[in-house]
Amino acid sequence: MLKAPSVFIIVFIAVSVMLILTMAIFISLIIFRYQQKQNAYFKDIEALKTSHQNILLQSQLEIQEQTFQNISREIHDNIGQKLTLAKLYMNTLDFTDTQKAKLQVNDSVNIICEAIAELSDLSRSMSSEIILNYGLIKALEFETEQLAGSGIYIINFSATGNPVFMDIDTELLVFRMVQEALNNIVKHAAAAVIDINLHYTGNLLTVLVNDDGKGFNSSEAGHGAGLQNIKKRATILKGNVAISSTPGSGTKIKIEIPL
Amino acid sequence: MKLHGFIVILGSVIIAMSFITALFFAHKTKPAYYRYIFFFIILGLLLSVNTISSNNYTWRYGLKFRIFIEQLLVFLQYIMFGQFFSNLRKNSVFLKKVKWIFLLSIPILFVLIIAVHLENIEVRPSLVPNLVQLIFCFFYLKDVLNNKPTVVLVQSSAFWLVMGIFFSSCISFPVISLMPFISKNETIANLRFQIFSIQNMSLIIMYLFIIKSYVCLKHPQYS
Repeated sequence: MLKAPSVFIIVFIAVSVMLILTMAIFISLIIFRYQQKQNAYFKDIEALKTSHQNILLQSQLEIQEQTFQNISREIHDNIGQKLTLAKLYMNTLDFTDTQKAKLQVNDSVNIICEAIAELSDLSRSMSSEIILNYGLIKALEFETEQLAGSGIYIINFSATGNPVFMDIDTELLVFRMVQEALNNIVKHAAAAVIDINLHYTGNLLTVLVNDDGKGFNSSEAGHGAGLQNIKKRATILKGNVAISSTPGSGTKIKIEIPL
Repeated sequence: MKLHGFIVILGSVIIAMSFITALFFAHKTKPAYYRYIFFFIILGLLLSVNTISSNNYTWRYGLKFRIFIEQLLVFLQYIMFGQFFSNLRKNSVFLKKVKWIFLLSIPILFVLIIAVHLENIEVRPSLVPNLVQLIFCFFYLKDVLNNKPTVVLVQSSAFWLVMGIFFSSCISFPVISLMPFISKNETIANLRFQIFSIQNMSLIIMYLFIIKSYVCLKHPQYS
């Protein structure tokens, strides 16, 4: 039993309750304000995510469209032309002149063989099977060997650091970026030596593609579709691309991809 | 039993409960600042023992020595709180402010304890810790409300700890500041005890908040 006068106990309880209530209101207000801020923050993050996803989707569509255009151009400009020529030879066969006919048939067979080889190259370059089976480094080795086989280029390929297997989609996108860079060199650079280096550090893959070609002014705004595709693919992988080139001194492409 | 005696006993029980809770969560992974909170609770237990013993027994060392022990324990508790706040929000401007104020306040508090002990003046040294803790709590709340709201506040152990300290300091600071102006006259002696009881009640609530913060460790959020 408490010995304090009852009025004191009542005052004590009243003051205590009042203070606790005040504190409760204060804490509730802070939590309410904080949650309001948190809701707004999460909304912003959601909006950013949606916007980023839209950009990625658009990039993917653009890359897909570009790839279709490349296939279409390849078929129309090279394979189509060769098959048309073969068809022309076959249509103009003169069976009375067997010697000439034999030559025409031989030429047609050669042209069709070339067309088949080009179709095969195109199919191989579009296929992701090599990545699936051997991984990025081996796939790039095949690719560079193929290009070096033409005898036009000296290609130095190296992989340094601590190579790791990334997921198949990432490896495929990196492979496509290097392919795109090599396509650019073949089409525009007139280079003799190409250096390709893949460097793996703890959490970063750095891809360097250098050539000694004619270069271009990289400070000028706007790049070709090939370089744009490389940048878009890097964006998809949350990486970044740095292109440095000056006319007459080759081109350096540095791609950084977080692992 | 008198009201203030009852509150002291109740407070001791709550501190013991917070100590048991701290032991219960001893092996749980938790932020580094919890080690200071643990020592703070132990010091709180010692303070309770000191208060209860002086209320119930005639101690041969006398009242002056008991008050000195009490102030020493309050001083150590303040060091623990300072360390707690210094480790609370790393990588923020909060830390810089806290460290400087904390370092400046320690000599002031020390001088005040010695002065009170030697001169027997009415000012209470715990005025300094309470004021500084209030400032720290304001900094913390400002920091929490101005930064990215990434944690769930109601499940944040740091938030409940700070709220407990804030509540206790909010009540203790005016009580301790006004105490020298309340007469020691017998007729209103009860008023002093009532006010002290309210201050003790605020400490009880602080320890309840400490228990709550330990319970929050079930859903750890490092902020």
